Amino acid sequence: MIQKEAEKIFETRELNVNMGPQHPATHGVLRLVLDIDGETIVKVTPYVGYLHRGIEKLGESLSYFQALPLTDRMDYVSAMSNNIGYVVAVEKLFGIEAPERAKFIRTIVGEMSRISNHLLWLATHALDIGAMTVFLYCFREREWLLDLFEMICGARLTVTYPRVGGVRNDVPQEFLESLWKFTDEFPSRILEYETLIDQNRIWLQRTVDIGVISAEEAINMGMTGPTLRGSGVPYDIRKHMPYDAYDKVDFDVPIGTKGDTYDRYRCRMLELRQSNNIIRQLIEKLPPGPVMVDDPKFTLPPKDKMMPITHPTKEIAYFILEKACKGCGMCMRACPAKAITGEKKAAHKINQALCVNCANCLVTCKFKSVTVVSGGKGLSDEKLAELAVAPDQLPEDIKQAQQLLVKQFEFIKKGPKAPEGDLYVATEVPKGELGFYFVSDGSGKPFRMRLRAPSFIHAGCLPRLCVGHLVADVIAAIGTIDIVLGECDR
Amino acid sequence: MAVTEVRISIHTTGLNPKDIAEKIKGQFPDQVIDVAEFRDQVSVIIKRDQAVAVLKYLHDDPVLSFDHLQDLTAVDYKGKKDIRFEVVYNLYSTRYRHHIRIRAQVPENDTKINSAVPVWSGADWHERECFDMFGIEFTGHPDLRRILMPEDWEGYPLRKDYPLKGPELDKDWPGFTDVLKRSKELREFDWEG
Amino acid sequence: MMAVGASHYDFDRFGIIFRGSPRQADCVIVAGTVTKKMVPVVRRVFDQIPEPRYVVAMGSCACTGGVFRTYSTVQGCDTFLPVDVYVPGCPPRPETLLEGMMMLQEKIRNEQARWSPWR
Repeated sequence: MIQKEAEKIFETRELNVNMGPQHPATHGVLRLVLDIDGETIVKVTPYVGYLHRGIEKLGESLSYFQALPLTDRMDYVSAMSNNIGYVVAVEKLFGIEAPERAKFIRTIVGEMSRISNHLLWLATHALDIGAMTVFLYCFREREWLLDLFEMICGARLTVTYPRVGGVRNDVPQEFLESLWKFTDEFPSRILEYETLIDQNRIWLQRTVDIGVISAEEAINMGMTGPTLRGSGVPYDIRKHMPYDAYDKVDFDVPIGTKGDTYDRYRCRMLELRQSNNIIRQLIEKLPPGPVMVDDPKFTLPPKDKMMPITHPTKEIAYFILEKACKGCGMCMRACPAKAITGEKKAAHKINQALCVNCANCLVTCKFKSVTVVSGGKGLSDEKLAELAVAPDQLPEDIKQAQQLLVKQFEFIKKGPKAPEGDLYVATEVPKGELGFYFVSDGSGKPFRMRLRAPSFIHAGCLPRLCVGHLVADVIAAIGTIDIVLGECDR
Repeated sequence: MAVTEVRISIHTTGLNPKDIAEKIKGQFPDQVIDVAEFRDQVSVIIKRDQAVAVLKYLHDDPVLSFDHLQDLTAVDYKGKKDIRFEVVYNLYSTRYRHHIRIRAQVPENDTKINSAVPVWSGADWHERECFDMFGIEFTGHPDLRRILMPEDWEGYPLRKDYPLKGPELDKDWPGFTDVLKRSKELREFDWEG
Repeated sequence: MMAVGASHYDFDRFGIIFRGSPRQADCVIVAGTVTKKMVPVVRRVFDQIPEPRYVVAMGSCACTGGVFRTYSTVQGCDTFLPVDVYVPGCPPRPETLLEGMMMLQEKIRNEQARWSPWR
């Protein structure tokens, strides 16, 4: 009776709190709706999709080679690993094998990307929990790695350095030297971070026994990567299904025992050391040789051979021979600058003032009526008509450049044809298992491109990790699963 | 220290995927339609009625023990195959290290299939995404709502008949067009220096 | 954007400090792709900022939509926000963002009519 009275007086109800999508601690645009009872969380409903750009649909409209830059923009924190995942999958689809040196380089840069990802994770995770200094320390090393990325490909984050069939270019010697120096120093830097937080009482209170998940449950929920290994499941794709050069290096896989936030933190710290180790082994073993497959089907034609046409100092002009032109209108439709005019079944004309020298007309013309006039830029039409010769009487180097240009156009526009079938290839990115599922219908574009993003699955596990804890622990839970919303929403 | 480092051997000892396909055929002879192989990966094409029973068998069988649902997605075969949709399950056993792919056919006029959430709770968000992108309904799913697109979005973007660039501006999602309209009205208050 | 805040590039030395709430801010940086689902949220954040307020569109995707010409992407955040500075790049280098913010400071300095002469 008294209890009932008391309940009436102190009536409690659950509070509904909206968190995000513009919240600094959610690492992007994640929105959480929390039902809280006092400070304790009763229910969490994550809302994602605020960064859904339709990469899967866009990938279906691009050739296998064009879709590569889209994968950088998924997980922009470790773009290199995403590239490698995509490239490995497409290579398996086409049935080609990258040269040994390219495989080693890819593994090196993949591990570098793992280190830089874990550093960013540690920085933001510590910042969220309240350790500001770690953030500044981690970014110091991360800048070093990003400078190294810049050295090999010119970009810091969205690299697009690996290519289908190898890598874009060989690494310079200075890169290897600087990286070697980095691996020399890095273990002492890890110790620096650990002195700050490893046995820190606040850190331990905020992480130990927070977000505990058992091994069976974790694997049933589809967790992968360090998030799963923290629970004690030794599932690492680098060991289970080795790709690139992972079967040639010797490394251990750290696993936790309890499956709480602290274990996952320790796993990632030990992974940093293992990655450092892998890089050192690979630099020592790095074999000489080419870095791209020697198959014209999968590589762009050499640029220097196309120079007679494409180099700006050549001052070339395109000209339509009146005799040969049948007036089909193909070039008119292909011209992006709308410089070509003409009636049907009459000779067409290029307006030299509008022409942007893109060579689209040259490639599309079936009657060999479009020709190149070297040094013809800025001349009048009459003068060009005097200078112009039929395409088969052009000098040999220009002819060859022309053929290569046609090849390049076909490569870019249509892409090499993939065999018919479907396959799923998974790779270990820093966040977990990144899978690519391709359905090919035998054309140059994927019929269906599916990306299995680890962040998406991990974001789905958030309710399980948060319920029963305090509101402040939600931040720790978001940090510990290491999500990037660009990858989550694709 | 709670965390230990373990050595995992690289050698795989799993079953041959073809044997797994044979096993499924033996267990569900009337459900398996076809077995396809491409680049050493075997997919078993099944009917949708007993799809979850097949998956449950694969998950629970001690010899197979597919404990990890790698991926769940759908494919729209418009104009390629008679039965338009296929729901694809990529399975992996972390204990025995073998793969199999299950493809369940879903016809266009009745896009329904049983949910795999009772078998793998990780299938939850995958199925919501499938529903969002293809409009395939998973019966028995605890919370089937749109996940990536806004909840009142019209159409299923990853279907082949949906245009890449989306609907026209006047038929677009009202939440977006309303803001556009309002921001146009508010533009007169903007400072122009 | 995180890198700009860290010690290597250091936003703070130009008097730019990140705030957690739009109500304390003078300027909003639209970083990355704006999707249709995000539009009402971004607009609301902008509406919460007290006047005078400025918008910086950071990255190709925020400026023009970038490579994502798809059903769910807005082709540039200037369709619903008055953008002051466009910072190109995918993603922009930290120096580029710093340059953009300094251009914005320059722009504010030149806005004579908006401020009282006794400022």
